[in-house]
Amino acid sequence: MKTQNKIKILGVGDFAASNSSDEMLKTFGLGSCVAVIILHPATKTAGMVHVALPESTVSPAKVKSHPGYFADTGIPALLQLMATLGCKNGEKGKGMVVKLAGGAKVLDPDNIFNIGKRNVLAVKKVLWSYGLGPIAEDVGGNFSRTVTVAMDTGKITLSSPGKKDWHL
Amino acid sequence: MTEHIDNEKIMAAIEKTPLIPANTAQLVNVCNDPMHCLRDIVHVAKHDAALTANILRVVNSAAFSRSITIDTIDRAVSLLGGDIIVGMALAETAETFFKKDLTGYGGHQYDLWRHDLRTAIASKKIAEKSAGKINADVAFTAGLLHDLGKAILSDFLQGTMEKILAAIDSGQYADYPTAEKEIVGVDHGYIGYLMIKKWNLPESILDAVRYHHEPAAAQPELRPLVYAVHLGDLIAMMSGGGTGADSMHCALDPEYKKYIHLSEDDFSIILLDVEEEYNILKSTLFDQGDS
Ligand SMILES: [Fe+2]
Ligand SMILES: [Fe+2]
Repeated sequence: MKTQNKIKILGVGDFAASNSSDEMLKTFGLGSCVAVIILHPATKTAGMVHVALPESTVSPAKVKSHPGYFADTGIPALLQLMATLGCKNGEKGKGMVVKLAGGAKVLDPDNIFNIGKRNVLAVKKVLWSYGLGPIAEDVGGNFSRTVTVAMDTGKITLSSPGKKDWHL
Repeated sequence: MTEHIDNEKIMAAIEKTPLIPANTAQLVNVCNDPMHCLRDIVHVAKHDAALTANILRVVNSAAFSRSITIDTIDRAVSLLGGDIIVGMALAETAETFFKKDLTGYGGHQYDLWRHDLRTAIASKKIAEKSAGKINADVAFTAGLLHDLGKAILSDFLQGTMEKILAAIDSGQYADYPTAEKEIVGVDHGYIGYLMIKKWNLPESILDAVRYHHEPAAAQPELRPLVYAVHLGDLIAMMSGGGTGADSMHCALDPEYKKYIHLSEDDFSIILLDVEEEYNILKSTLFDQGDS
């Protein structure tokens, strides 16, 4: 991950959180990956993890260097980071707002390569274990998505070449 | 089959494609020989002072975080491998294409390079799983060149994105390359093939570039390689390295299973391995804006 003009850019498997009102979190061209965005309005904190695969069992060796690669290790890592910024996940997930974007697929008649869909399902399963669930999602389809989260407003902007920007 | 496109402007653009240095073509052909060894690559690279200097620069670059300085070409080649050496030579020759602003696709400068490099690495990883059926160095080179045609076709697709996306959504076109054929008469695979036809590269690479979106059309004995690039391309798109509006709008040919055996787990691991190798290589082969 790197920071450019107060924009934290998240690559595949990166996760970050911030409560500086002039910062943004951004991830480019999500294909089958899923961006899990967690907002904590009480502390004006936003976090994001760029998940590539559903489960870490496929490659446990990579968990240490990149927990964010996988839904089952990426979401706990993000929540832990947000906890250090004072974001408490209350009873049944109260206080946290979760949104999802990504999980696209290529045009595949057999659906064998639909990692995107498996990612979205895995992300939801892990969120449920924390009493959390997405209140908004923009997932699936055959296009890539770039996601920007503005910290001051919690506003999430999505963009894709050939489409007008939209919000989540 | 006619080797001509019914569009003089596109033909003129293709004809302006520069040739590659004889040394570069020789490197690709050495790697194409299944019996080649690193000595053969060293032998060719040694005759190119600029390439030798570049190889030594790359092998010692921070990305590889080595504790000692590598100062001989032999050692450098054995550490980097034939695929990277060929990649460096081609990157230099075709830089104007790789860094082209793909505005016709809604892409940006160096998007083509990033996507082609990801595809090259993914194609190589798939080839490595083929138990020797597919030459991994060749798969890397073919992946690196597969979308070169976009650098030319982009100019002829200005203002078409929204229309193409709507037509794919409504089912009028099967995928983006089909739309290119309908609108311009050819897809970027065919243009790329014409661009590199005079480079004296192995036929397998020409077929892989030409048919990467319709691998079943390739010569039967070359299909394993062409399918490896076909899959490598999709992996690159899935992991976020597309070239614009066409990303993810490409159809997977499920016939790949006849030639390549990949389990769901193999596929997942390749996805991560590509990402990690890409992150090492992206800054070493080119000095680019980076992202
Ligand atoms: Fe292509
Ligand atoms: Fe491609």
